[in-house]
Amino acid sequence: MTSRSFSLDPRRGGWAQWREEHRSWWEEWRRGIHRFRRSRLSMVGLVMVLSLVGVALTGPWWVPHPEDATGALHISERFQPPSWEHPFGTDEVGRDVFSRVVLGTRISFQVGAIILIVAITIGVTLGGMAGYFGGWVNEVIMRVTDIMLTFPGIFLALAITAALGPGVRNAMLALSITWWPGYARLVQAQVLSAREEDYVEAARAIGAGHARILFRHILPNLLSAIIVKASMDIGFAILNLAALGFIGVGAQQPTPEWGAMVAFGRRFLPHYWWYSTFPGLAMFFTVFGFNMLGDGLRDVLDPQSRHGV
Amino acid sequence: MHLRYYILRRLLLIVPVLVGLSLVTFTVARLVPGDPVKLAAGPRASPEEIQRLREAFGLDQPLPVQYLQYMRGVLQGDLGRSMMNGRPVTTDLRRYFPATLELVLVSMVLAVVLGIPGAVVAAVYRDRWPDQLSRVLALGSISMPVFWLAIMLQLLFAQYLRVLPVSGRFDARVPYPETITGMLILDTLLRGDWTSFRIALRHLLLPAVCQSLLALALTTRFLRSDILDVLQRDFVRMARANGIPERIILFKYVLKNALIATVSMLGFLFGYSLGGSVLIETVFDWPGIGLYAMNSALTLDFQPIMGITLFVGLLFTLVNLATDLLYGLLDPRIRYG
Amino acid sequence: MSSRSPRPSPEIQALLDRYLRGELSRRDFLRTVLAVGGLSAAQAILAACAPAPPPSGGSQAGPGPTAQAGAPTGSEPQVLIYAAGQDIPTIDPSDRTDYSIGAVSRQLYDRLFRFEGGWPQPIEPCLCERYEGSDDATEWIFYLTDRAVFHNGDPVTAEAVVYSYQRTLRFQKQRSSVIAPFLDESGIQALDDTTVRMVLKSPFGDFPRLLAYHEQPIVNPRQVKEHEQAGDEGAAWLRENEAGSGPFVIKEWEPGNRYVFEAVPDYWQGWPGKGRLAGFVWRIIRETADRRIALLAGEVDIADTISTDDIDIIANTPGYRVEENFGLLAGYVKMNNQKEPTSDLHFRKFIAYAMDYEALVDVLGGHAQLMVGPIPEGVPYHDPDVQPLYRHDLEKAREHLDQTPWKDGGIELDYVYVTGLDFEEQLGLILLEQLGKFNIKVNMVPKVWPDMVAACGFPDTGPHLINIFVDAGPIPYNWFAEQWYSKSWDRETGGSFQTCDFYRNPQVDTLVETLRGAVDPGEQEQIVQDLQRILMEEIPGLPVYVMPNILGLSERVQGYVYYGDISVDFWRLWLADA
Repeated sequence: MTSRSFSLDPRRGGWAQWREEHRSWWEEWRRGIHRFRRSRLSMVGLVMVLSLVGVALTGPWWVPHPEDATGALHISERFQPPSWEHPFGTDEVGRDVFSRVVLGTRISFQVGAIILIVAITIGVTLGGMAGYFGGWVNEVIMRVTDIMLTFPGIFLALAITAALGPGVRNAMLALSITWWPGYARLVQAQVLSAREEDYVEAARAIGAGHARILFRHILPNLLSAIIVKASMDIGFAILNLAALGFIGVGAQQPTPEWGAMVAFGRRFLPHYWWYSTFPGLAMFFTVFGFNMLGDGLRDVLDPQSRHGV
Repeated sequence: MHLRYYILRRLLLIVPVLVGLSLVTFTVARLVPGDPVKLAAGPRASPEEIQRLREAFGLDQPLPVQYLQYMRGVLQGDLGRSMMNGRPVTTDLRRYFPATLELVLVSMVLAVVLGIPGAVVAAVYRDRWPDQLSRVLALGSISMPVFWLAIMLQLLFAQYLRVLPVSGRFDARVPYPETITGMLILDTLLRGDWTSFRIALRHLLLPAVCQSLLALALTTRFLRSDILDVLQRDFVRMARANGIPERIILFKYVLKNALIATVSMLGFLFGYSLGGSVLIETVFDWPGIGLYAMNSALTLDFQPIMGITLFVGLLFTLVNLATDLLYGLLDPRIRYG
Repeated sequence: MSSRSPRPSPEIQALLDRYLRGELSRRDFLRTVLAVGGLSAAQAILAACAPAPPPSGGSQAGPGPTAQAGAPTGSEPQVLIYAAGQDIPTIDPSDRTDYSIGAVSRQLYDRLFRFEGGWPQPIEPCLCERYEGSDDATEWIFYLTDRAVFHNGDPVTAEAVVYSYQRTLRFQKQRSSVIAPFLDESGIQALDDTTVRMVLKSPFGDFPRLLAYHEQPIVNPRQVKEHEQAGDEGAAWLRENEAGSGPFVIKEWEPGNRYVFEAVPDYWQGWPGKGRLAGFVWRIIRETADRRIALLAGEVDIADTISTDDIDIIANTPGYRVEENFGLLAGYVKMNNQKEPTSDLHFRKFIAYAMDYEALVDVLGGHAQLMVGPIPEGVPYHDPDVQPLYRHDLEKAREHLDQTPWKDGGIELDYVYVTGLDFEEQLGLILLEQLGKFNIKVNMVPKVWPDMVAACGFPDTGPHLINIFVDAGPIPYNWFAEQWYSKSWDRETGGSFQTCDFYRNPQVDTLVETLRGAVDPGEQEQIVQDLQRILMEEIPGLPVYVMPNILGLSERVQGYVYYGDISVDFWRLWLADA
């Protein structure tokens, strides 16, 4: 680390000063953004994710048959092949697969985001505490984290959803529970190393409180590492939710969840191929977009990390 | 001695891990609002039978007592009995685990065999189109909903081309080969039974390919960046300066050094995959522990789930330990603390 | 004790002659017989016509072993591959009765009677050649064949029969539940080597049919003794091994994967077809679509539980055919009669009229039989004209809803079903759509099966609406007692999934109790008719449809006869050369 001059008086603030304080960090950001924009793959990922977010946000207002995601049936129109009227065909009760796939984006994004928010909140809190306080706190928290990491995640998620009853909420709960240890590990390691650094030492020396040091000085530095991990994880969270839906313990009808749609459509393959194919493709492209974006973000935010995909 | 102390410490650490694992699964198992006993007894069972079963499984005892009884059994190698089929969980684990092991091992071999050349090519053509292609493919592979891909491949090869079987481990018309390890590929090879080997391989192909996707993507990209890293090192520059041919540098010096980190990653991935083949096994009716776990979960048969979790958790821990040791062996710079 | 007359009445004799000449299908024959003479006539016929009449498509069951050995028309025995949707958790003859267990047990063990050809159907002799009952229907005597031998060479004796029944009653597992209300261990006795006497706790006129339905596999007590561990009566061993006298033995046992069975060439009852199987493989393929693919790819010869959407695909593929038979698997939407709003009669009628039955039949591609009345058509004494008949009628639904406190809707109902079962989900979606028109929200609540069962224990945890399938066999009493008899759920240990209506009506309770002891067919019929009428008027739960048993077969499969359940009787099958 380069030597920096800090003003530790919190009353002296302002943007200019903040920038001054975090000059190297800021520079790094700018260089990173430059790298990011030069990477075509990352830009493609960004565009994909942004447009999917757009689709998720606006979908209910423009899909041709929004009612098909909330319980309407059109049994006389079952298994219509793709056409102008139904771009992705219709399913076994005559619902428009296109509308359901589009509205499914919303579900997947929501669930992915919630899982990550819960996992990050738990992970950051526990990992931060462990790294910062060290000693027995660290031992206890990290042992628990290790145990959770040892868990075959999908078994646990399966067991929890089976036990609590199938449904989106329980699937989210199960996945959040299996997801936080990764963040706890990440945060703990980062905090542990940051703790030793000059500016934290300095803050401590002038008597800044635990929480203050943790949240003002350490966490901002952690942010980039978390963003990188989260951007890759959200895709996996979406896949895992779909996997639970596929097994039959995820979302319930009439919720248009992609994994469940694939599972039900499977029964009608290959004759009604559109039913299973389009939700699968939607899933693939969404996760692909996130992964490309995440891959680019890592180059930006975490240039030391060699092990990019 | 350092190493011995290190191993001992790591082995001792397994104990709290297992206690933790068992506590968590035990808690989940007791969350169940459903009544597995009623199901196990069947729809027309008498109340007396239900009560008898409840007592037989110790479910009438207070929870701490139940847990201690369970752990006492575990220490004696008894993981309890399945409520659904009445068999000891250990019997079923012995029966189903070789299938999963076979699937995971073969998928790892696939990942290595295809991943190393892929990584070398990507590294040599750094940032040019082969590298970019491999990057897109790798990102695509990890983004693939594997159950969906499995279904599509199954449809293509079993239904349209009819070159591979739909599912299962072996042709129903042919007598099952006698097992030694339970891994059919290995067993048939050991016996020199080529017909059976071919049959087993045909059944294994699709599941193994799907299962290997993640490992293949990670291997390729991991190894690529490690190769690039090693290429920057001094000894490579020296070798080049001394006029040693690039090919020899690459394969003799660089690859060897670069593989070290990949081996440890593969070790981790292997442990992870043992518990992660649920979806593949479900799609292909592959009778391994993943399918066993899923069927048990859907019938809320918690003895097998607890057994599988403990078993896989233990394996995972051991595999990680072994990987760490191997890593140290390959890279003498590592010291055990 | 007066012996049941072995001489049927003249009109039945005439029908019987026509049937034996092949002019009348078995189904029509039985239906007519039941209409004319009721149950006692059927019993008389049974007693009169051993050996069995020829099954359609096959030749007469030969009296001696190896009846078909070297038959010129049959092809070489081959191994048949059967794709099953379900694993075989155990084959202990005293344990449980899943369809997979039943299908395989039938091949490994013999039982007193056989069923063939769909319900209603005559019971045919197997080990029991003839029986008689006392006038008050409490004492029954069964005369066994002396030709049957176990696989290890021991003769099948009356003692083995007694032991098998007693073992089941002692174990008190699911297998015992059908017979336990009528029979104690002490009530079964061997009078000599080939005669068994059963004395019932309470009279039951339908008893032989109950035994036939129950299909107790007869085990060899000597073999069980040999494998006994710690007084478990062979429970550990019999789970994966057999000690029977049936036409097949176990060759390979790979749980969760496949089970291989080998024919006993000189099976004591012979083989009924022009050919026979060398063996069969029970291969588990859990996914419906995969069973169809495997069938059409030639990997398997028969696939069971085919989806209704696959029927046309298979039937239109040259070299394959579909067997679709309606058994007694009846789908209900049970309504909780002890909880608002479904405790309100008008509200239940509202749902009964709001349900769109035809839409469901459409979703199932027309492969569903709507139920008329509370019991399926195949159960004896079913009334095809029972009133009222509920069909989709939104006006009537509105009329009834207006008589409840919820006429403006604004309430939510839980619809509980088994997660992953598409037909149950579709039924729920239809209810959701229809009730939505009345501002009533239906929550789709998928559950894993154990949770479903648990929810059905007590009225306060019982859901408003729950989709349940019931098969109580061809015994009318079972249908009413298991579903709408209040003592089946209003007890300390709660009910089972069939009782999810939580229906209580003293009049129905009395009728069910009377039906149990009724010996006279006329009286039985009267009670069953009364029950159907009351249950339609009160509509405790919604009888919806009977689901067909659908099999996909390769054209090579010969000798198929519908057995009455999901699976097949491998004993009758053989494979023609490709």
